[in-house]
Amino acid sequence: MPIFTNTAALWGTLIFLGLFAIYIYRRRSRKIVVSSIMFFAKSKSTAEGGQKLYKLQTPLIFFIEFLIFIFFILALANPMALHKGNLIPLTIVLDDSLSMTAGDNFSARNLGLDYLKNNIFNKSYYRITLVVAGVRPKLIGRRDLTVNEAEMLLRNWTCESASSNIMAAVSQGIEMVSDDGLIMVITDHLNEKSISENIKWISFGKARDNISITAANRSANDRTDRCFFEITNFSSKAKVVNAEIVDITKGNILEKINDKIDAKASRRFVIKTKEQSDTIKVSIKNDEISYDNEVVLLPIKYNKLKVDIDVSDKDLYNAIKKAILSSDLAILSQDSPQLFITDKKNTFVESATTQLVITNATQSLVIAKHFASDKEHFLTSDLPFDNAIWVADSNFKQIGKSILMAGKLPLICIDEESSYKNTIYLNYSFNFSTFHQSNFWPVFFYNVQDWTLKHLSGPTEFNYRSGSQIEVIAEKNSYNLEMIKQSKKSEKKDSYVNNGKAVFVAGIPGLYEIKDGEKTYLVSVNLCSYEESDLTEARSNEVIPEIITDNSMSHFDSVKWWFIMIAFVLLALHQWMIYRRRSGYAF
Amino acid sequence: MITVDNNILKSAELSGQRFFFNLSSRFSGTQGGGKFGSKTGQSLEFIEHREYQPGDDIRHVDWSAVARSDKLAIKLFREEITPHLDLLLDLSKSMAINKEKFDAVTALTAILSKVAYNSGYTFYSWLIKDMCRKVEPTNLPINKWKDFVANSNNNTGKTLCEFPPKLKTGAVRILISDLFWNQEPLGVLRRLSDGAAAVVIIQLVSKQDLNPEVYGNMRIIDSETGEALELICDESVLSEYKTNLNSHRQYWKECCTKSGAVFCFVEAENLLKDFVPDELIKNEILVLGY
Repeated sequence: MPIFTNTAALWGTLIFLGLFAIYIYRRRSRKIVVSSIMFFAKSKSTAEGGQKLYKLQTPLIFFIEFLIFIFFILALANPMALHKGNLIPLTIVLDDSLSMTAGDNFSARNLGLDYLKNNIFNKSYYRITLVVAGVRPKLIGRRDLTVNEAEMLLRNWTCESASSNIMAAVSQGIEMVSDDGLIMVITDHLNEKSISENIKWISFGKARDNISITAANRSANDRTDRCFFEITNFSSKAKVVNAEIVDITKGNILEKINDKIDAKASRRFVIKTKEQSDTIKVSIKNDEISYDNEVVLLPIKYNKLKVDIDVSDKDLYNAIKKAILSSDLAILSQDSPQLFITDKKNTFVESATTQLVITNATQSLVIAKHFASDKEHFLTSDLPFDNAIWVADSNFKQIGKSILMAGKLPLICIDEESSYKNTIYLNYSFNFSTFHQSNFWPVFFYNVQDWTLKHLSGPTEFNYRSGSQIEVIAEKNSYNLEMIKQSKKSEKKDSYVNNGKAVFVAGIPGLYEIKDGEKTYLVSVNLCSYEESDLTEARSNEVIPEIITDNSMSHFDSVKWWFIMIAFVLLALHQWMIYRRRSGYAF
Repeated sequence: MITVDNNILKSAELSGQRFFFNLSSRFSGTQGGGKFGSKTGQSLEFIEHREYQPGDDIRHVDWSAVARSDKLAIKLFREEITPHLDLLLDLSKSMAINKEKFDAVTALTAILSKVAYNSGYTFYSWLIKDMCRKVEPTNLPINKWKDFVANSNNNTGKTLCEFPPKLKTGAVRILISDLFWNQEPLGVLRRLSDGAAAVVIIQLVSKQDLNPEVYGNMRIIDSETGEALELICDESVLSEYKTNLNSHRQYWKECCTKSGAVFCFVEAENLLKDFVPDELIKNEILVLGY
């Protein structure tokens, strides 16, 4: 099917009206039946119709004349056809974010689908590559699909991502197409940046009012959990928000919210619950755009760290014990301790994930100030050692990575064999040093416990904001973890364990099960995205750009002569039809 | 569909009673019959004496007259004839292009049948459609003739040539038609004049045929073939039509002359005025009764 590059010429088809008017308003013949027409046979007849075609002449001749005009007009419209069957490479970048679904039947996704079906998939001259722009760009199917294949694969464009990294997808698209290839972006917002002529940015968005939950978090202390929510009104006028906070484990409504929120304003809500093992859900009841009306906060599950202190110096033991217990993160236990603190060399506990070895000085060296600490490391960040006097063993040899040094002498080293076995070496002579007398001694031990906790198997958190990374500390012998969406069991993601951790991207909001061998963890991913909820900036193109560019025209040849030839053939047929032959008579 | 008008029929029959055929001389040479011919023959009806001329049959010499007058005289007797009329009627659709034309067909048929009766003719009627069918019984009144309707799409001339009727030898044959068919007249006349005592061709046309009301953009449709012609008609077209019509009539006349047939032209509307077939009288086919 050729395409027409001079579409203005198509207005010429209006000539049909003139032709039609001529046929409608022409002088019509009056019928008369005579005994015989043979005495009229030598008379001149009107210049239309043939003897064989009296009954059909008007519609047929009209139709042929109309076709002649049409073919000449189409020739004027400069039709182009693909050169030797070469197809135009087209990469379609599809915005996969949730905001594309706002508006139900008239959502940007549905309008985009209609556009693609009516303007792209009905033309056979494209070879299509589909890239879904979610949190990360993803290729659908393979490269260079036929239009039919691409149409079939569009079902994978679900628009469930918490955000869309369109520019990353466009970059991926650019890498996949040749210089004269086209990139089309289907999204719901206009692009303010000027981009290449080959990139067609087509937006089907519409500004809409929306109320959404833009932040949610849950934290716990010893007795109560604190749940925090932020509801934002993305509308041009103030609105009353009807929302419920529900303990879905017990089925209790904890609080009903019926507050007015100003335009473009947020309201924060905090609720404390003693039910630390219950799941809390917040839902907005009076908003049509549903994807951001609900958040689920799972209980923060962790058990207290088991710490065993095997230190011969009684004062040191007491100082450590006091620091450990003050943190409220741990209990002292000799039964399978997870943190083992000792001053004896070569004493190891199998169950301990982290072992803290305190080295007494054999050749003491007093150090005050001029400490060099690793500011990035979890254990030493923000800890000012400069106010303490540190007596250390000058013969201490560095093991692993040094995170606190005095000159070339390592004071704290970490030997990270794996995420399941870390040893912290503390080059510290307790009897002569003053660090344990400072306020930062318990802070240091808090860090050690917290760091140990983070190395225990399981997710590092249970409630995530969409788009963030879900880190899971794997079991000792696990190599592969699986994340399954609870509402859609077929949607599985695998992640290989690397350095004891598996990482997933919380792309699509919902509840997920993470399977690590026999253990299963439940995590919640909540949208909480200003970008996806704020639809006030959504816009459509005023004029949808032409897809075919001048560069792409190199794939086409002009075929106007086809149309001109057909018109001439029809013209000849027309002349043959209206040519009249006379038969002879006896007189 | 135009059918027989009984009033027309009655008027025509009344008119026909006044006329006789003037065709007795045409039956010369026929042997025997119930009627006297106009010439001398072999009957017992004496006409006159005539002086003997060389070549006369000596057996006809009236010896008594010779004795009385001293001159050789022979007796002349009247001839006996059996006159018959075959009336052929063209029943193509054009013969009923309007009521007047078909009424004229009916009137002429009635007049001629009555004239045949008056003149002592036996009389057969033939209806020409896709083939020629004789009306039987032959004495059936015209308004009871079966299928006496002008509804045929056939070319009458072609039917006459390809399916000729079994006409009686030595009879008078009269064809009533508008002759608006495309067939060589000589061929038709040859068929009709073969073994005939006389052939009369009566061209019956209506005023509409002579002067059709066509003016402006016309779609002219042939009543028989349905063939149509788109024309812008003006005086020149009408004039050309009349010229063609006259040429056609003239050609038939010439062919009739060549074949020894009599050609008569009858205008339907004129005939229906007084039911007097002037053209037949003028051509001495009919004479008024005495």
